[in-house]
Amino acid sequence: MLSFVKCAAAGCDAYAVTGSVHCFTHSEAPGELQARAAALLGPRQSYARLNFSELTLEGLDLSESSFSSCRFARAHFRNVNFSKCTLRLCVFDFATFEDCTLSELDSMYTIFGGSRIDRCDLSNSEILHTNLNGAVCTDSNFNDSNLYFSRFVAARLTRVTFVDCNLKKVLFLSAQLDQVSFKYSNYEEAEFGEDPVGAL
Amino acid sequence: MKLFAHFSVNTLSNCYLIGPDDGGDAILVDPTAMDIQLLRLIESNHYDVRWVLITHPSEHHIHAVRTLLRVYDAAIYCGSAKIVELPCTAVGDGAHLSLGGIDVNALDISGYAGDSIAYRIADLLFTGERLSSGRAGSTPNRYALSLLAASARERVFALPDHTLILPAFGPPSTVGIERTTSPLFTALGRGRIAEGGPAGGAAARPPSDAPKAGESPA
Repeated sequence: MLSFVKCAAAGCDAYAVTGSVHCFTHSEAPGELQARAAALLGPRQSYARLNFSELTLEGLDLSESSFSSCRFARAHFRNVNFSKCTLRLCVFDFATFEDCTLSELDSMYTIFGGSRIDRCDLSNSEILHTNLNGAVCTDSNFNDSNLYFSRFVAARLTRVTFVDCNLKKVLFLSAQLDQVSFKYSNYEEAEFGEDPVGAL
Repeated sequence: MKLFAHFSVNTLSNCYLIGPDDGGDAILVDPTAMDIQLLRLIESNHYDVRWVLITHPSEHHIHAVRTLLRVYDAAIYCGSAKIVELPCTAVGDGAHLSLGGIDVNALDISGYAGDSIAYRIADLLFTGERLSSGRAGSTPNRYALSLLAASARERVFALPDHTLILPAFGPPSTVGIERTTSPLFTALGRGRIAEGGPAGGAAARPPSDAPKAGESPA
């Protein structure tokens, strides 16, 4: 369901941004593209197959919206409200989230791998089957969330709290944890340390 | 083209449905349980499953495929000529299929198991049990692991960063993420997995910011 429309620029393998024939890098009017994206996005909406990769989105209210098969790779989100959003098969790889609210999120088959998450609230969420591998997460909380089958492989977590979370089948392999709290969570059912395959 | 992911609570594995935007003939990848949710996903999107792609001929697929064939007239493709007693069309490394106008390329990414096949459709790579997000599939021995590592480096990590990796187990990923987190790539550089096999080449360089071993929670 993802959009596979490639950028019209010769030799470019990136995907075209929604509303343009080019990717963000090759867009002739990137400012206009960002303004159009910001105007399109709003609360209590349903979106599918958007590609807003590499865009910077600031101060938006996207609460209670639903995103299906959307790409936001390397996008920058500042002070964006994703509370009560539904994410299905969305790609946020290498994106940055600063001071964002992602509480009561309903995420499944979504990719946050390689992303940077600073001062974000992901509490009371259903974050299932979600990829946070290699994510760098600081001063954020996942409290009271269900993280079943999600992965934090090689992630770097600093001052992150997982209070009263379901951590069944969650992988923290090769992750760097600094001042991370798992209070009241079933961390015995998660996997820590080095990957046993790599240790063969 | 639309892509849907389905999680089977019975087998804890992923199954993928690919089809045209407006319904019609569809492809199912790695069905392990033909449950009501999967049937609903197929039917509510007006699909008729015509092709089933199996990444590894395991008995886990038998029950789902048997049930599926009672509902849909589908052709089964697999790395071997049959799954237990069910006949299939064998596809090998490099095979190209055109299924309802959708191009499918088969590739062996395991390096050691000839009947394990990954399927590439556009920028989607269905890796089955061999490669998951941030983790390699289980291998019978250390030599097989080195073959898998070498093969993954040559055939998977060489793909564009935005290629979506859709494994049988665990969440999806991208080649760009795997290049920085998969033990098949990062550990190879540290010499934790022996280099070997026909696809063996120079050892990969670990990323400069490779994390150290994780700490146990307090």
